[in-house]
Amino acid sequence: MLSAIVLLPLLALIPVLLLPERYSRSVVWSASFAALLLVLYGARDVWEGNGKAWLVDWTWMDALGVRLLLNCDGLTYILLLLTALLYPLLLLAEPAGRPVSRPRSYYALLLLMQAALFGVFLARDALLFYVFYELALIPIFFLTAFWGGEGSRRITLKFFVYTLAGSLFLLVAILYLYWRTPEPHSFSFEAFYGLDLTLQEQIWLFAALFFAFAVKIPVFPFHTWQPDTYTVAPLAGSMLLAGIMLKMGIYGLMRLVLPVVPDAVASWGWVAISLCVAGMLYGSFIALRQQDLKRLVAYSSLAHVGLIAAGVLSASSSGMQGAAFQMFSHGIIVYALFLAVDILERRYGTRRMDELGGVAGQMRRFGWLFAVVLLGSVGLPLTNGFIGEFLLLNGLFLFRAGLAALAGMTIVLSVAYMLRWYRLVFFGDVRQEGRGDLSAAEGLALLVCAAVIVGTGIYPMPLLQLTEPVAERLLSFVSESTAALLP
Amino acid sequence: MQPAAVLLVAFPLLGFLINGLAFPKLSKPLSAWIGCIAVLASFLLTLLFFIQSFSETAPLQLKLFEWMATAGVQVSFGFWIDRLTLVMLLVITGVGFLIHVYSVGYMKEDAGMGKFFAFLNLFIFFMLLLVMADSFLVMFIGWEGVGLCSYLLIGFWWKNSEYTAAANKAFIMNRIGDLGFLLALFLMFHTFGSTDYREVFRQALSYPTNDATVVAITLLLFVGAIGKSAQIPLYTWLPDAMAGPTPVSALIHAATMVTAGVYLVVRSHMLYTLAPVSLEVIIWIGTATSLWAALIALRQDDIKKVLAYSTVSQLGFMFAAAGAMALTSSMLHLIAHAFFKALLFLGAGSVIHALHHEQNMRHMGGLRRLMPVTFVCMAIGTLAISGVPPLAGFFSKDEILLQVASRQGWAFIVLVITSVLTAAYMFRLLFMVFYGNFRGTEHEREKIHESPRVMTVPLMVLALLSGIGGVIGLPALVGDVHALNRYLSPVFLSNPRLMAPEPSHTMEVVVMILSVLVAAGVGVWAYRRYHLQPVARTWSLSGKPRFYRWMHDKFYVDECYQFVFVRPAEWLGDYLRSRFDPKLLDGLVEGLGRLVQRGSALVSRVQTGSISGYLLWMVGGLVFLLWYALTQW
Repeated sequence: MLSAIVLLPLLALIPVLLLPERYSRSVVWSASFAALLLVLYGARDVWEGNGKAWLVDWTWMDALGVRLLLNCDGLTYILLLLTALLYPLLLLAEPAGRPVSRPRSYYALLLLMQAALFGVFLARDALLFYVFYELALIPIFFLTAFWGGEGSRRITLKFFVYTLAGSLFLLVAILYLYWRTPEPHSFSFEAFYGLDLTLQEQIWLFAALFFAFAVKIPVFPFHTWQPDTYTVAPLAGSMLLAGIMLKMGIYGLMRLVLPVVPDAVASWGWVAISLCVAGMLYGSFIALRQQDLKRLVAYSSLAHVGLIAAGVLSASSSGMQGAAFQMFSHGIIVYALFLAVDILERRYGTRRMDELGGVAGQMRRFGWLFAVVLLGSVGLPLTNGFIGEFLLLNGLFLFRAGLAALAGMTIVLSVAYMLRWYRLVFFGDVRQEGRGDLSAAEGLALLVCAAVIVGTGIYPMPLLQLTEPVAERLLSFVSESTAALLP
Repeated sequence: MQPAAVLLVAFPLLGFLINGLAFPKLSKPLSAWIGCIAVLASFLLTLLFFIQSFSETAPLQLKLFEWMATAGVQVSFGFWIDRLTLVMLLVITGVGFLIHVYSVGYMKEDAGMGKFFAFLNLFIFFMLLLVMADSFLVMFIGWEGVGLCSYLLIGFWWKNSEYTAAANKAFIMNRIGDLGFLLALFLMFHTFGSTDYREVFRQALSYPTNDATVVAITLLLFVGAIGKSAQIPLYTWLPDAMAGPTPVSALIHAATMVTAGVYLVVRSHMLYTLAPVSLEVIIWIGTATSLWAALIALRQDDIKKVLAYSTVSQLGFMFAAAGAMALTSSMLHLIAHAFFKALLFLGAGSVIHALHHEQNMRHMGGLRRLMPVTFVCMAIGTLAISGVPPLAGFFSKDEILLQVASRQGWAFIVLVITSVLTAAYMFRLLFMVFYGNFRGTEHEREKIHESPRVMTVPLMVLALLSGIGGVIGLPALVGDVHALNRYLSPVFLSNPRLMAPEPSHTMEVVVMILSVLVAAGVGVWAYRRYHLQPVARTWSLSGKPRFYRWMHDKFYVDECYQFVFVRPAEWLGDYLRSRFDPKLLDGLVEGLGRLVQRGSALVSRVQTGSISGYLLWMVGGLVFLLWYALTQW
């Protein structure tokens, strides 16, 4: 019943809507904290593989075979944890003394978003998954369009239409799969996994599903909505988009692509992986020459998630486990990076590198904490970024050594652009007068991130153990099918 | 002994944490004490292990915890302490401790002293991890960790943008090497299913010589070594790294970190003996680097740059020896080099300190009377590196030359030339700095003073070590096998492919006499050129061969890299950022969007709102359907 965690943010909507606006923030605070506690409380169940505590199975639309089917395994759990952890941090990161405009709607949208995100990761019924997948788009659209920076309406509209177009392919693929299930038709993932599809069918489905998820992740060359949207979105929007939402796409690849169309992945996966790797280099080269820090984070994120997607599609256990782990790491790191950019912008009123300098001398604590985040981002050993990158690249290496070498070039490039950031912004000549070090809330938010980055980098085993059974199960469909293909 | 091994690593980490978390609040002397004691504690524990290693030859191994485990990747975090590790540990903690003590004096006036000791301790921690690891992957943690510390310490004076640029360059070039290391790790997992030393080496025994996979692994590992140990083509970061405080140059960029690549090759001898192709590559890269860097060193005027290129060159010697699988000789030179190069750097630091951060040798001169202790120590260091018997450098260099001669004649000749050059640039340095007349102003001259005790004592200890350290490598001429060889033999015993070296005794005598003659000849040349003749305060090209200019300008390698790699990468980034991404790619997407809009605009025109129009369309549609139905009949 713990899956009812989806309901928690929805229930919290009631007081947000009923109470005076000044209480909205406190309600969301309590709700997100409660959600975090609930997720942590459920940790043992998941570790012990006790899925019963989480299972929800209600009929919804009986005639169509649609069920409210929610369940939690290690992969879902790690993403629930990420979502539940980022929410309090998100609220913590809001600039003090500068309340958001129209707080009621703002916080209501945040809650709706959290419910949708929980739902996506818990759903075990494809139609339900699709509903949550689309539902998540609505709050983020409004958050970005109405609380975003200059030109946000136009940019958000593009983002909305683009991802919606992607989703249509997802819907078509899901419906096709539904009709292929034996009578009575079912949308449940398990039913899809059991299907016996021809290679031709699989290839078409793979194309549709990959496109749908590639837009969301995003994978080069379907990423053009991303830099603009990340840039104009308000802090919470960027964090939600890059920290959690894009994981929906990767999660989709893991849950719906690998086990459903394994033969297509085996025969055409290399095309998708090549796109991912190309995108990694592409994003890195652009990040190398960015002046706007938020854009830099956006393009570096393109490089990082490209690796995650490539790792999944390499269909190796190392790649799968690495992807699950890196989704969590990347969520934390990208959150911290966006926060860091925002902290700079709050104080100095600019995000441009050439207008910043000598910050290390003015903000000592910030300089140190950010350095830890940076190291996580470039994947230095003993940070969580290394664990993920290592496993992913290893998975990719098993697939094609050459592609791994190409993808590996990004570890050099990432050092180049991240250290450039540090050098120009934190070191060098002071360009603006100091405006005080981190506030307590900002410091706490970054400290939690730094602690997670180092903590899970030194001892990643709990998280890896969590996802291992799921990764193996999802991969078992691939190995079965390739075994069948072999003479 | 196992808790002691953990403590050995834990002390510097603890020192880092205390200093790192509390440094603005700690007083400077307290920070310094904490930093020094942390390393001293590790050194004492190392001594304990060392003494015990004589009675107990079996390596100590210890598993701490599972680090990463998925199907196909099993890594536990563990230590492996054999005699090779111990030799490295002694160098790291011993020389490291001396340099820590020296830093107390050198950094006395610096506000960031606590931070400095925190970084130094962190470096020692990672370096210990590097040599104590029980698998290549755990070694990689230390490997990247020391790179990070190197970055932090090169850019220690972060307000200077040139320094931070040097720091970035060091990190980036190291990362290129690290990528090679990383790929080697993947290939190991792929091939052996593990990166644990014992497992990898056990399986490697059954591989044929020059097997493609093993060759690939060894070459990729060597790429890592090239980056870390500053060999051609990834050496240009090391001279720039001299931006860091001088104790850092002594510790990280001379004595310890840069020798990690040599350690890596020696550690993986089991793999390298299987891949003669890779060994050939190592010999040549090492030899070429040693000559190349020595040529550049000969025409540098910055005292630290001379020493930096000298380090690159000496590392080349070590690699040449390692490539000849003269592993003990390589290690012997590594130890000797740690002593005399640390000595030379600290001596240079003492001079720089006295001259208030003046590094140009053309502005020095005649310092031997003003700084007698530093002078004597530097002179010992110079004699040692030039290979004058019976100082430390003599035995090791001698041995390397002999070993390489028995394997690769041409490389031997190049190395002999390099030895001459080595003596030349070192004597040039010595005479330019300490002989002749002081070339600064009288005012500057009055302020020159000998460095305080806390700096000169480490110098004297290192001078002593450079003087007598060679006894562990007393050549076969005197005894049968030298001490280091005997000590390390259990490490190499398990490798059946490793031939016991057998250089001829006559050659030994010849090389010995040659070394003395060369040193003497070069000494006389430098005395006449830099003591008897005046040295110009500024360098000019007039009347000198063009080749001088090339040497002085470091053969324009940095400029070439700038032109071939950096610029195109920047251009590509700019092109993608400002044109391809927003115009072409996004233009395509927007175009598609506009196409749909146009289409819908076209179709929407149909929606006129007039009933008669709709009726017309309806009738038309009905007619079409009817016609279609009829024709299908």
